[in-house]
Amino acid sequence: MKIAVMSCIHSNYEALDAVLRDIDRAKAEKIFCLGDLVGYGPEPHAVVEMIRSLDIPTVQGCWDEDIVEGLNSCECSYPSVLAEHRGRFAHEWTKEQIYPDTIEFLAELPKTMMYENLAFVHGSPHSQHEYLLPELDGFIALERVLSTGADTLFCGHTHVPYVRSLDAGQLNIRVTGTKENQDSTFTAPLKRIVNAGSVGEPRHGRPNATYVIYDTDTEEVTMREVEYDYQKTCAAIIEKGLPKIFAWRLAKGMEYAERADDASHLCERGV
Amino acid sequence: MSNLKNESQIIAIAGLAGAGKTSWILQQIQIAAQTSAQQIVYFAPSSGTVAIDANLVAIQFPDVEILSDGQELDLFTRVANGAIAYVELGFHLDLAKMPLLDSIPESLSYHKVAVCPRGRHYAEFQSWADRVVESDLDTAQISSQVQVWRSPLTGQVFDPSSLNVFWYELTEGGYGEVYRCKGIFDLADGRAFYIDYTKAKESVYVELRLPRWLEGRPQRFSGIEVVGAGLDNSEMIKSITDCCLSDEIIQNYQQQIKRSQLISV
Repeated sequence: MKIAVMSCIHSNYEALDAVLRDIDRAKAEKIFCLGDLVGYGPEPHAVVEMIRSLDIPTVQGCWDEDIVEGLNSCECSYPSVLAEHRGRFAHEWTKEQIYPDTIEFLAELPKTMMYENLAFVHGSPHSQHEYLLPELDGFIALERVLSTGADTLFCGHTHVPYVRSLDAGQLNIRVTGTKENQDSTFTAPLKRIVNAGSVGEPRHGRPNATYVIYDTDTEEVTMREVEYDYQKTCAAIIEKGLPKIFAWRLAKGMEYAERADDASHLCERGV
Repeated sequence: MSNLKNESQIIAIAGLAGAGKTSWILQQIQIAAQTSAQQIVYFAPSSGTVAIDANLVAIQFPDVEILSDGQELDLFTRVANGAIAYVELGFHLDLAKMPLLDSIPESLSYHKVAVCPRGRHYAEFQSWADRVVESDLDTAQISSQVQVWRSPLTGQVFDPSSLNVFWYELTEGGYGEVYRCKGIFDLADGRAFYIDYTKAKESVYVELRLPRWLEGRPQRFSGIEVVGAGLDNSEMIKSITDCCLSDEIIQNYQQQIKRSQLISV
């Protein structure tokens, strides 16, 4: 069975609409969404309404959580004061735009979903705010997958799609403090992390939306990059009073505000 | 770029934005400083309160006397007394209407130098200059709809990561088409940098030979100049403001630096 996994829509309705049409053409039978429905973009309510109306199973993203609970993230969310100013502005703007029942919907989203041997999270199983960057230490990456009990972990948050196979899963552990130090070796089966990229706020240098199709029978992952009329989104950003630089950055495929790129940083909010 | 013989004179330098006028002047000053004790004067007419080039010259050569608008007669007096004066003419000035150059006393030696990118010929400068100096800096031809936007930044301290992001957005067209931009910026660790961009080359970052400023907001010049078309001034101001640090953060940084300096001593 083909499933579609998408993430990080960020209030970009045009991108979401184009991805849903592409999923339809690809004949995926189920869709999973990894959160960040809102934030930065101009159409938070329309995006949430679309996800709700199609009853798409969705986990809560960091932006969704922040809209519900208020900003309380560690430094990894904002690698510069400029990014922090922009993020806070977008947060306040989004809060003003969405309706109370939308906030209720976001509040009720689960942090993790399971489907057969697949797990779905926004950032990592530990926190919606934690980045599983492709260069993350292999031991930590493997631990994050193992903690879910799944063979394949789908995540988003970094806005850059990737597939990482953790096939060197040999763990050597030394237990100290007993009479004799004990060494144990475990061999973990093949695990994978699949990052679905971003529908509405790509970071790959082009404005196109990205998501993945996964075949549960063959375990084949197909990265999809979808063109859409991003200029409509850019126009809406300007019309609705969001910073014009967001429109320029979206057109360049650069995200609205730059993100963390330190693979060794573990989010303090979640660990 | 070749140098001129040191003698008492006024040398007026013109050229496109980013052609290398200031670089050529700095080179001449360097040579003069090494070979004679002759007084050197620098003057950039109509550069206003955001005189980035003048401040750059002053930082790199503290012995050079910097004159500003209203001190034209002083310039003539200095040269009459044996100084050499470099007069840098901004690309935006009309070379045919330069009252300063027209009023230079006949008794003073006066030369006009045009700085042009190597292999490029511009009739406007060639017909004006006594001598054309070819620079290795390339620069794009500027449209007739050119805008110049300047802002003083004295007292502002930048978060380096934010400044990097803003500079990238600026030079890649996030605030309109930019042909040329330069600035002097104070950073959180007390250092100051000169950043220089022209459309034809990568940005250049130069740490300035200034003492680290570790006591509150820097009371020394910093500023930015942007030359382009369709510039969105209000968005630039917003982003620059968002790059700057609060008093509290500046104080924290300065305390950390001072502590680390004590430890290293």
